[in-house]
Amino acid sequence: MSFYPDANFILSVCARSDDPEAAASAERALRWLARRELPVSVSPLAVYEARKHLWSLPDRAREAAAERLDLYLSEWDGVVTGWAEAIDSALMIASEFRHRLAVDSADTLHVGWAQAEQCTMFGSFDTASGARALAHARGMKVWPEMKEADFHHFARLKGSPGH
Amino acid sequence: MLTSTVSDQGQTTVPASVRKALNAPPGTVLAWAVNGSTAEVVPLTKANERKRRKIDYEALIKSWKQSPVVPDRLLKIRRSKEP
Repeated sequence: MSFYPDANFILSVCARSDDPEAAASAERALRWLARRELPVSVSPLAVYEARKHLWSLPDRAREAAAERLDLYLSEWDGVVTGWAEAIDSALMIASEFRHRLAVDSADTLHVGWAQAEQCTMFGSFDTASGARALAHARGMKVWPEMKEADFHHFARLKGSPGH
Repeated sequence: MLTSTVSDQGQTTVPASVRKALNAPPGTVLAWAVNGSTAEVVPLTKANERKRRKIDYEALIKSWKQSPVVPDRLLKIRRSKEP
């Protein structure tokens, strides 16, 4: 039982967005992280994507964000599941949903990794990729809570009429 | 080097001499830190738990609110569309 953050979630709590709504969501995530009872399981994929992405930020913001990331990683647990097992898990997901998946390789791997790690919660702010809906479809609780766009992706995954 | 075999259910026996050396009686929770193809196993005693860093989130949120803002588009990882 643990919480799996994807790279977008991690980036959001490392650097502050100029979008007031996004900044408010990130602050809510920080307050949730402060009071959570579940441990956080962070994958090398999420850390790699976050660190790579930090290089696109302006210097001052990047340095502060990188310090914050190091701080999180000093508290959060690294996943026990390795790359090979995570990839197998992601491929199982692909075989289950087939043409209905429409979630890109990296996002499917995040969900596969979370599932192989037996995480019970999946953290992501990305409602466009379908990863949140996929995690929901695999039985994980999604944080922040599911939104309309997620349910649209979820309906497609389930093959509902009109999708 | 001592060895033990992993069962179909993923279980294994910690050799008695290792349990003794780690002071890990029955019920001890073991923390696994994987590093490439090797792993470090640490018994989660109260002393070891205290060694784990605890983030002061209140202080972190305060500094986060004072940090420079970044254009929102730079914080989003964009994926290319796949079929």
